[in-house]
Amino acid sequence: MKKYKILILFVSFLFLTGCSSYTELNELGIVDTLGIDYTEKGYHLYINITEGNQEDGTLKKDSITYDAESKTIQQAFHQLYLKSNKKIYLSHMNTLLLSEKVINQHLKDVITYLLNQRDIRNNFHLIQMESDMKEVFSKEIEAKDFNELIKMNEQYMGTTKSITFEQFLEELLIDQNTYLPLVKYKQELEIQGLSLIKDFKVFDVLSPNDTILLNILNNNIHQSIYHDTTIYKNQTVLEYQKNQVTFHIQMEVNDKDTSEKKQLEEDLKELLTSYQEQGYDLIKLVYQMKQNHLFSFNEDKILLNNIHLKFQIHMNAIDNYLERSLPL
Amino acid sequence: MKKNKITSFQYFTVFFFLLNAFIPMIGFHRLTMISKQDALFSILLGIGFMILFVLLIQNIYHYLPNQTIIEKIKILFPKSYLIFYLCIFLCIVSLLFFVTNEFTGFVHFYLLPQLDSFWITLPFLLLLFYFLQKPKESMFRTAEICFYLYLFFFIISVLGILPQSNFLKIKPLFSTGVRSIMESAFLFFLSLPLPFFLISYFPKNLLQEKTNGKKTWIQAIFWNGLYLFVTLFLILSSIGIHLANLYKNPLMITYQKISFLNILERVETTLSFSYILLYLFPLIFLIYVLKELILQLFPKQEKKKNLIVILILLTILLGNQFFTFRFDFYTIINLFLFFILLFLSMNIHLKKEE
Repeated sequence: MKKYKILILFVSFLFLTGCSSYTELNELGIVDTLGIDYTEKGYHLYINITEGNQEDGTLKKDSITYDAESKTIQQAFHQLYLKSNKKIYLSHMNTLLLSEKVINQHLKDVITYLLNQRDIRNNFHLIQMESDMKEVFSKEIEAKDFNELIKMNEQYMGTTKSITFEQFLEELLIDQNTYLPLVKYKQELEIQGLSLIKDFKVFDVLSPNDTILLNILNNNIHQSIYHDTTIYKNQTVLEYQKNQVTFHIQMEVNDKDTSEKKQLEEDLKELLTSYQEQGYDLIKLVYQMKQNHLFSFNEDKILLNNIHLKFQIHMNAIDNYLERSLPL
Repeated sequence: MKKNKITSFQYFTVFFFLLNAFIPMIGFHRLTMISKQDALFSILLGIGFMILFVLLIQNIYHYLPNQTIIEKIKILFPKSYLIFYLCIFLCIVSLLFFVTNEFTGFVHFYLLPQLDSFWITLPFLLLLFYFLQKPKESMFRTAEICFYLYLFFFIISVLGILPQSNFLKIKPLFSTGVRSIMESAFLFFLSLPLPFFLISYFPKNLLQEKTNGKKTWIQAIFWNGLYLFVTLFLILSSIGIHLANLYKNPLMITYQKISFLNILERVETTLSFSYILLYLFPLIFLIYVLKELILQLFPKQEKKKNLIVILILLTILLGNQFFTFRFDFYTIINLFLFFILLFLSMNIHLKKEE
């Protein structure tokens, strides 16, 4: 019996040295941003690796960019690995930039590839880049800059909407419709609204103004400025009745102008109905109706075009104690 | 506390772990693929089926309280017991391959992607060898200790997932119809025969107190069901039905979302320790029962039981390199064990009437 114990103990010690395949932290190339473009030669990948170097006792943050091109996405990644002197580590990736070309031609392949990578997590942000990817990566813009730009615009203007890979997948799986925040680089980063995706292709682009309307409908507005109206607060509640959806919109604005209210109602209606006619379910109404009509809902009978829309907008002007006017 | 005896709580914990092995062996996504969000009701319905089944076949446990299930078969069928032994032998060996395969696959994918499966299996089998050197009471005591750890990890994961939950994602309920609910409830029920076979292997008199085995089983089935219900509820409310159906292991995807105050993140590797326990106990008990079965067949080899264990472990190690098993295989074996248990119960009933 003792012999066995000694044998087990001895063999166990062999495994206590840790994994044979361990990697030192400074040998890891932690990918911050990944960019995927599609050209005539195939997939063009760009990665931005962040690393910290000790110089004169202070930690200096460096950013290195690699790019590779190949017929398949797997080969392109393989090319990237050949170029880097570090082990490319995707687990901490913050942002994925996609070009319109890759979305229109190979979005499914990209998703499948990402889903099958064990070290990729689902919480990175997705962005559609309108500008040349090469130029964007040459400027060494960090993922933080992209994400902060979108977050700030979403929070204080409502002109865009962030999306993580997990949300993107979920939206696609519901009805194959989803969106991506659209960003352009021209000397500096600029929000361009939202890119609407349908059946794994770019369907249309929503301008920043239309994105505000979409965010109002989705109850996703914290603050915004729509035409001349400053929105301080908004709450949208949807009420479902058979084939009708009523949007109860409660707003706190700077000025209670009836014409503005009418304009907003018309704009919201126009935005929804125009996409409804094109068969694009902008706010996943069919799915939401299915979720809320527990027993009476018959999925086959409900068609997007048959849903009647009704709007009830209540605008409350809040007192502005700082309001000043020039004595003319 | 009497030595060589086990408490009813230890008995409960072992049965709980064996039942909970549903998570890695069958998996939530197989239920949700059939009945979507209604899989929650399938679990509740499955608990009912399980309780009914154990009540129906409890006479196996009470019959000859000093004998193991293997010995009971020999007494019940003195002429044809070898056929039963062969069937059980084949079932256990193939299940050993299946569970080891699943374990290696899990560790290889989530924890040690660059390590060869051989080096994953080897230390685990050494651990199993150590366990099997100990008397059977030690295995039950280990289960009791691990149960507290398991509970701790469960509480941590619930606290971590709750802030990420959106209960609206559970809707719509009752969208798939009765047939789908029944189908997935039956699939859930199929996680019972193997645990019941393994737990009822141990004779009634092994229990320290003269407790009612029936009560312990029902408690284990109920608490296991509740555990799975809460876990599935959290999975659905945090990642939604579509993503739950997309991944083979939605629980690990849900663990990835856990973040405590944005400081403690990426805890899925730590939480996956609880997963390893769900492979450990079925494997220990499968090997133990197989060893006992071999000894029953070759009673003169009692002194060579360590050699038998080593041979079993070597077979697993080598078999794991060459065989892969489909999930259907697990359900088929469980279905087969279900009929064996039912047949045994019927025969005991008839014998008692005689």
